[in-house]
Amino acid sequence: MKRKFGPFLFLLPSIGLLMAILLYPLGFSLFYSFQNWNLQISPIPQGFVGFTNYVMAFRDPHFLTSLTNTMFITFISTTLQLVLGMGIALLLNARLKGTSLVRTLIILPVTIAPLVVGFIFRYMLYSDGVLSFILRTLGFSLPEAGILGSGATAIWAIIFTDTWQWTPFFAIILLAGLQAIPTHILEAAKVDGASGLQVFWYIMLPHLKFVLSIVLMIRFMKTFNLFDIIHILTRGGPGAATRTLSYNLYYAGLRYFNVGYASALAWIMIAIVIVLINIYIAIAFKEKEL
Amino acid sequence: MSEDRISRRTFLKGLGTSALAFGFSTFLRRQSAFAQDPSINFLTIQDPFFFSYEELLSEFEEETGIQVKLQGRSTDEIHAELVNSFVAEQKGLDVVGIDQMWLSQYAENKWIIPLDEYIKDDNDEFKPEELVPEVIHSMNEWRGSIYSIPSCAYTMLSFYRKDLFEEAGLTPPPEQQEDWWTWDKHLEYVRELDKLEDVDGTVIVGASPVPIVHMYSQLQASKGARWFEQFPESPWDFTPTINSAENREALEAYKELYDHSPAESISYVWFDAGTAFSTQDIGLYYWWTSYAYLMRRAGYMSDEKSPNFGKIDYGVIPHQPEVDQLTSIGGFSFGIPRYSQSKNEAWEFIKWASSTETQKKMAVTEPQLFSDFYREPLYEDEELEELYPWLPVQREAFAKGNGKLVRPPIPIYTTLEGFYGSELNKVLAGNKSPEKALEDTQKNFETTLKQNFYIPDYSGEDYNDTLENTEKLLQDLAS
Repeated sequence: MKRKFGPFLFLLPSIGLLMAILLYPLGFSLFYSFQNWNLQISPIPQGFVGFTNYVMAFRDPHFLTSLTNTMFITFISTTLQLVLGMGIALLLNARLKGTSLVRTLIILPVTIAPLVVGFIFRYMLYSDGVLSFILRTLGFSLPEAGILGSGATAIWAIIFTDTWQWTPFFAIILLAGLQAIPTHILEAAKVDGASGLQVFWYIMLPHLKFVLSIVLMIRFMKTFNLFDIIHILTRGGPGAATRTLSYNLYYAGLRYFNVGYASALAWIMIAIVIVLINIYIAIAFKEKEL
Repeated sequence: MSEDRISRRTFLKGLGTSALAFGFSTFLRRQSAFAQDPSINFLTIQDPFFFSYEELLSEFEEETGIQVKLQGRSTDEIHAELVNSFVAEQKGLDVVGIDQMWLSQYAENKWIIPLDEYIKDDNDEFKPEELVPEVIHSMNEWRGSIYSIPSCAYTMLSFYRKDLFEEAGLTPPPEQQEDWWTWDKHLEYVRELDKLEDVDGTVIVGASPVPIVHMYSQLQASKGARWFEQFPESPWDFTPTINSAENREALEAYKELYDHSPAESISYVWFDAGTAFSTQDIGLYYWWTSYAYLMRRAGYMSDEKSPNFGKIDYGVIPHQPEVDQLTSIGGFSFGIPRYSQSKNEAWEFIKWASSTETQKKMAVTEPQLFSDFYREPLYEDEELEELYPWLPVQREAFAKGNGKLVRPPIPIYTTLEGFYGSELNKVLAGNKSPEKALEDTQKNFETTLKQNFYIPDYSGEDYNDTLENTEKLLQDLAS
């Protein structure tokens, strides 16, 4: 009996702490998502309203656009970061000349606050900014309203900025994964006459699979909630071209102070992420027990 | 047990002694804090006035012995931080910077205190009779009480480039309203200026949701379009009137102004338009009065002189024939949170910060970036007029001002503004026609106002919120 429950008794403080910092806020927001609580009107909730806040969210003319934009930015941005990050990790792993310096420098974008990154790119993306100048010099025809002023290019500017900042994160994690591959396996493959591509495909990638899946999952969830860069670069515009779910949530909660509605929006986002992540886990980790 | 190991008893003794020492030192620190000069926390937006106060705070501290901890925030941050601190009933804030659009929300939720008693008790020193009534009515009065005192007050002016006007052979905008200076004439001028080589006729602010509403609402108000059936005069009727013929005309005109602006002004926020005008070749635009001094620089609060310095002049904004002119009034104010524990010290600070003497010092002290006055004597000061030559035009603009009509500061204004701004931006982006955007705005206003019990019948009590009543209130407080 003692042996059966002993370990759980020791775990209780941790479980209690976890409940307090994780479950309480979630429960709090779930409860208020069914309440009419708008801090513009009253400092206290005005009563139970059932699913009204959820219905309002789905009826919001910007909801579908925001959902589409969120998914588009998340998928494209995460994929680009993965591909580029892998490329950089492979280059760094090749131990070419100057690699150690590059390895130190490459982490810099990750250390800058996204708000600052937003401001830097905002000025670079203006018509007289350096990025616009480079693109024009390369022969690209830019929209008259500027990269950030056109719906067709503004969303790509956000993806580009996010990719610039977070590709190094992929690169560093994947580099650590690459360096953990036992060298004798790589050497054996070379002795057996495997090409570079074959080594990457049949040895490196299977070894990286777990690390890759985890880092992809983390970035997917972070990009799904991307807000700062959008706020600084486009404020969701032009029109609703770069509105995302987290941007709507920010406005509902911290600009309009509609706590009930913002809580409902937050729970819709949580539900979407849970569904997507569980599908992903089922596919990516089917051979591993999590 | 070996000698160098600590026994449980020794450990507990040590712990107990440390706890006692900590408790005693905390007590001593508190005692010494009480013995020290009193201090207040002042949280506000980092508009130009913030930097002027920063320069002068030591004078207040020397005069009164009250220490001021000044903290600045961006527009996006401050409202959220204030509401969160009020909801959490935090006691750490003593003076807070309030945008006029938040006043009713803070006042109705009793998060800030009315200042009438403070003003009345101190009227010989505070001099309420000096205040520009249009400013107080627009920014500080709610339901017949003064809840805040301005820290800066802005209204709208026309800004034009003298050299480009000369080149195009145009008569400059007048310094007082004249019949010929209409919005149609403004648009005609913009078209003419746009024809000059490498010149944009005008510049607009297009970023949604807030910045675009700031600029557009001036045009809307001048054209005679209103947000609601009746507000702020009683009886309050919040039936939205946003989808009106006057507003459609205004929005079509705004769209045309955008067509003659730098194309990327669709994503311009406040200072982007000012910076564009001060550094590029743009003929004419209208904007907040603070840009009169900000545009002397090459960028917002930049040390570099504008390349257009000396070429920019000022006039009143155009009017719409047969419609009473109405100018926008905006700005930030000081308020005292209900949870402040140093309310008297906070009032001492507000009294000092809003006095004619301090305001003048703010204006004459380098970098001379402050002319957002709301006290009459400052508009009669020759030294100030020399430094800020647009002051007579600014005073004229205030005389036609009513911020409550241009942007009605009801508690749910921010929500309405959010939707409105987004729809206005869609018109500029070509996603919607002006008709469709206003139709959708009207529908959204109706839904939001219904959800919050403003229509069909307003559930609260109304108040006859007129300029005359604010003037009476100020007279009463001065007597």
